[in-house]
Amino acid sequence: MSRRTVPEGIRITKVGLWFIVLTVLVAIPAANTGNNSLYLVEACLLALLVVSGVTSRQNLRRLDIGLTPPTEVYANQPFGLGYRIRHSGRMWDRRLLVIAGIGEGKPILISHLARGEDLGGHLELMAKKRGLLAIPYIHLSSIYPLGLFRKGMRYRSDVELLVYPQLLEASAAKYRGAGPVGEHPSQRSGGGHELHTLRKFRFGDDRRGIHWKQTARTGELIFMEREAERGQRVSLLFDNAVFGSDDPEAAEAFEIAVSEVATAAHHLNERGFEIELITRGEIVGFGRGPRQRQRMLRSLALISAVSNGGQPLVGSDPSAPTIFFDVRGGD
Amino acid sequence: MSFAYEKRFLVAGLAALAPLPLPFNDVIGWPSLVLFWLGVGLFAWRTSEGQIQPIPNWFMNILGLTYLPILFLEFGLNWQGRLLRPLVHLALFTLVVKLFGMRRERDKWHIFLLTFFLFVASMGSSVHPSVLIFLVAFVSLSVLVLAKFASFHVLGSYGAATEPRRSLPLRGFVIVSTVLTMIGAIPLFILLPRLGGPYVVGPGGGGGTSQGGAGMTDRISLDVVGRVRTSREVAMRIAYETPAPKGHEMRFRAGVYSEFLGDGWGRGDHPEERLHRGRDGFFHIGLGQLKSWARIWLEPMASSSLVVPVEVVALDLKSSSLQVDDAGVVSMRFPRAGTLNYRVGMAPESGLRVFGSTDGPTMQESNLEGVTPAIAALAREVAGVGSAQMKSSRIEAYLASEYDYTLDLVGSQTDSPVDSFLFEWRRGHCEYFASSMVLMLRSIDLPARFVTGYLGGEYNPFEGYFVLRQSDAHAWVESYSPEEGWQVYDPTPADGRPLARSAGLNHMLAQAYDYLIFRWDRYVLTYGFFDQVGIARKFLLFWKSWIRSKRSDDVDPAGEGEQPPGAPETLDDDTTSGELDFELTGYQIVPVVLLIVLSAWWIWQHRPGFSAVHAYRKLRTGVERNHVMPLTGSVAPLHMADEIERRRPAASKPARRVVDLYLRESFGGQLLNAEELEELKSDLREAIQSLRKSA
Repeated sequence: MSRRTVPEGIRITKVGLWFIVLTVLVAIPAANTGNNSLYLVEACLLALLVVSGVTSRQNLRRLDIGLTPPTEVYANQPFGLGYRIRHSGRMWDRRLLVIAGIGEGKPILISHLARGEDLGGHLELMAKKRGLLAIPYIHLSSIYPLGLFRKGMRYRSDVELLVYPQLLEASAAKYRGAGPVGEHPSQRSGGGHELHTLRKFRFGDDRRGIHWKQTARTGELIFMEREAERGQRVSLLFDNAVFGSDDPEAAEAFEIAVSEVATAAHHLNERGFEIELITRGEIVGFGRGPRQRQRMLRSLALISAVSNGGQPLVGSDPSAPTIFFDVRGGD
Repeated sequence: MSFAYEKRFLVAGLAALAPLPLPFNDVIGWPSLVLFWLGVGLFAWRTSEGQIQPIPNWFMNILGLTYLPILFLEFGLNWQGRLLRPLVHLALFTLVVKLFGMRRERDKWHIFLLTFFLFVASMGSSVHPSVLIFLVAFVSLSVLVLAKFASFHVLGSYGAATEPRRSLPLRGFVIVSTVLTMIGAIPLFILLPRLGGPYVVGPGGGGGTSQGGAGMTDRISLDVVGRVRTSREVAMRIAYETPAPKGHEMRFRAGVYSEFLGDGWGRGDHPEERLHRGRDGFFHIGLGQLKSWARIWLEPMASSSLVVPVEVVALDLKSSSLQVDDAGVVSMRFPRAGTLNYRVGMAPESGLRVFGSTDGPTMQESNLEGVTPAIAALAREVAGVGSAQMKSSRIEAYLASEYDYTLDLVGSQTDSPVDSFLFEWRRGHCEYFASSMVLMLRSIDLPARFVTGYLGGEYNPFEGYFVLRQSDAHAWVESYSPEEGWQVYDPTPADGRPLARSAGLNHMLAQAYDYLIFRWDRYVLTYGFFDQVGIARKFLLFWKSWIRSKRSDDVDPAGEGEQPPGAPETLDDDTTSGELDFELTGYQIVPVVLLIVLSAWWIWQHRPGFSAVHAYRKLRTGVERNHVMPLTGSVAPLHMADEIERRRPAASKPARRVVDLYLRESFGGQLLNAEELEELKSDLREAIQSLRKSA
């Protein structure tokens, strides 16, 4: 929870502009004629402006705002930033609060927040770029009470998100399959599903592995040995060397390449492949499952272009197929 | 009830309230207002019946054309020099038509503008303190309307138009806001700069009726005073700066009449001369010794004459155009609309000698017009022999003792009212008594004249002043003797003089009400530049005394410098105070200058510079103005940038850079450097130009 606030000033609305124009218009005949009844009107108009301004400021103060970042955020993909807002003031309910985060996303309206009330929800946001995304402030604004001004206030949040690269729908089809294909028999005994060989039961074998039909036929306890299974390996090689990295087009191509790698890593991991990711400067060793996916995506989220290429990239398992990516595109 | 219906009711309610004071202020008639209310009521009824279909434009045009002859009549044939009346009529008509033709959100704001005009017209033409109630009601209703409209706008923008009504409980807010607004308006009212003297529109006096009574016109009938004495309207207030002497009679002259017209009196021919200020800054109108001062607040009257005490010898008035005639009547060149505030210096010597009239009698005051043989015979019989003063006193006493006082004769018609009074009715009101005495005195060759004014007054303990009402109007006689000059005689019986006072709760309430009216007149309606100067002077005096006390504390904290008891007071006070004044001026100026310099520095430091936020706002304005897309508060920056790219590709690149920099500055916590700011400026310029071109 944070209560550190930074006022953002006041922006006048159309209604407010008219109000000020009318205030000036009343002031002219009042000063010209010395008619104190008009001075009364003028004083009331000015006082109402002050009351509106003070109420507007008060409406955005004494709020506790807490943010709950999501576990995974992808670039250009909406994500929900959890928030909780609590009215910690002693006076006046808060009204017409509009909460907005950063980036593209629809602000949330809280029409009424009673004293001591605690409300929560998700703020829909979208990050345009991969990498670290700081959300230093949550932006609160309101035109309450009279709609004359739009008052803004920033609440410090100190939230930092790691935005994974964008997953490309177009490229995803290449890596999608009907089901998991990453497992296959390895010609060795193990704990898989396929039958490897039948042999005599030995002390210490799991009795659940006894092949009862053969045992009945031969009269000896026959043990069913299964083949060991292991994941199919894939090496993702990403050459992140870019010549002329200052060029905007090259930078855009680099980002697309990163997204391609991320898309491949994501979908191959979903299909059960054991994947390694090799880039210039970082190697994410073979592995699979959610953790491996996160490791690869984290690496890709923070990857940056390097200027010189050097030796060609080689996978650590020569028997594993490789998918090569570079900034020029393609695999 | 949906937002649309509620908005209509709110708009109609505010519109109905705005012109309420106008008939009271005689700006429009009640029929006009009732017609307007009928129109608004019909609109509200239609709305409650669910008929919110606006009238078509062609019908509105026909209505507008229908009103043209009325407008022509009001501005042409029935002009009467009153601009406000036709304008208000036009506004009322337009407002009703606009209510029925309301179809867009913009129309509601047009109605607000018209309503505001009516409100300002109502306030600007009001002089009665009850207008405060109207002001409070209008402010609170306006606060409610604005707050609800703001809520509807936001809820509608976020698709929450059907949100439960618990989101709009505004009663507490409206009450507190109204109270705070009223409290805040008080210092603002005091401090708002006045460029000149106050100007009071309308008849003033708090009652909304003109006060032309008490014989202030050039010609009066014998019923005028009797008629105005039925009114409790306040005519003037007077506060004595020094206590009035015991037995002092408060008698104020308003008009002096020398020419008897049969059924009334005329002023006659009294040459006027301009009064000039003396060396002491006062207007001197008599030769008596100036002994005491009083301040008078004279309510507006249909006359340029000033009401002054009989014993007045000097006047202190902010005017350069005072005139006095040979009867001692002081007048201004032009009648004043507002309450007139002036001081009178008096010479309260024994007897009711008229100090303001130093000239001897003219032929007019000895004119025998209206004197019949019967009157002359009666006068000779009553006056007897002796000095002029003795004869006058005998006639005065005779009339006061032998005739009765009554107001029943007001309006009675007769060819010779004085004869009828003396020999037939033997009763009447003060004008009959005074007229009879004047004619009787003239018949025995004593110059006399008829005088109107006010007698007495009721003391108001709330403020410490005397109130003189129209019921205190009175008529009496001034008679001339070579030895004493002009002397006051009052032949009206004591029970007919306006001195009898009521008492009890009603009286106290009346006094409290008058106190309120007086305060309102004094501190609201007639508050002006000189009052502001007075407040500033008081503040400076307070500051000065505070500094002085601080200085004395610093110099003499233990009181060692105190004079020993019995020591002569020989300190050179003038010299000391002179030095002190000089130093104090420095003391006063230094903090003020320091405050100004600090304020200027603070404003300079906090001046809004060019920033990405500033640029982004300008871009949004450009997008709206060039009709790229409708921008509500919920349109996010990047979405706007995407829409620009889609709809106005030429402006896309610079616009996106502006948006990116805005996001970086606003949400990334990174301030832009000078180079980036320059880029931002050029990007903004390019984006706006592209948007304009493509539009």
